[in-house]
Amino acid sequence: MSESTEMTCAEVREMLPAYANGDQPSLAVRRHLSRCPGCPEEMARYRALVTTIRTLESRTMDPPAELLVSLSRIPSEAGRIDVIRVHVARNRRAYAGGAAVALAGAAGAALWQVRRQRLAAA
Amino acid sequence: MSLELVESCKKGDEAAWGQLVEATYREVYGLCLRILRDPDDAAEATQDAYLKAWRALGGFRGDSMFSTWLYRVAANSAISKLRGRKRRREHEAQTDEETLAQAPGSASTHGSALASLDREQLEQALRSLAEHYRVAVVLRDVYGLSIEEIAKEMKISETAAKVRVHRGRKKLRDLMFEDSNE
Ligand SMILES: [Zn+2]
Repeated sequence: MSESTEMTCAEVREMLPAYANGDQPSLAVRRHLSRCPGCPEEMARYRALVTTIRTLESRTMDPPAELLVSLSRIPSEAGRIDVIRVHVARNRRAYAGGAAVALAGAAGAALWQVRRQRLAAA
Repeated sequence: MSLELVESCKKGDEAAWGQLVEATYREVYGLCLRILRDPDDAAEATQDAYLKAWRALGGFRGDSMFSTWLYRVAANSAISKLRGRKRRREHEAQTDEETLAQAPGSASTHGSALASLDREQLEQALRSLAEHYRVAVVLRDVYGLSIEEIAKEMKISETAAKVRVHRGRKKLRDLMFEDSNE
């Protein structure tokens, strides 16, 4: 194989993000990595990046205190939410002149209003 | 997450539902917050996700991990909300590039320090990514969804999803290792 078929650093670096989560690089990329003084460190950066990103899943932020309560009530309130959802959707359609509406958001908003109102009253 | 708990929920067991929510809602809220970047929007998306999950539970066959199934439902809710919000504030996307300019200071991470990147700095870098990269990287690299699943939830081709993850990682790399650009 001639030298001209070897991959350049620029070509290899363009591909490195694809191997960030531990996937095995192609033979040509591995060959380059075994000979290049700079690219392995770049590979290590991507691996460290994705390894650390993965740990963010368990790094949870505190949800609002009322959230757990409202989520727990879903089984008993799911029927009522349907009524609100339909009502909100109809009104939006009436006011927005039939524009596409994110129906899915309506139910969440209905529950969540409880918290916002409570905060406003406090 | 035990399959038994999920089975009890399917039968309408409200106590089991309470346990299931308690065991999962922090992660689900985290997913929504990382996508939406607004606590109230994230809370709404979380509620919407669990409402959908409660109704769709019967369709969960146990062939994938329950957490992955729930993350997909949450991603769907968060992305819907993102779209709804975008319609209301069309200018939001433009602020991403500005945020990018003042994103995290360069990490002085060299050699052995590589293994322990600063997680708060990484969160900031993620937040500063343009929306289409942020959603793809959050779902792929934080929550472990497959390219196929991400493509479905984002309503784009698998190739496009792959490209977004790829470019998103590249941008994150540039943000986290600013001083290492040759
Ligand atoms: Zn090289």
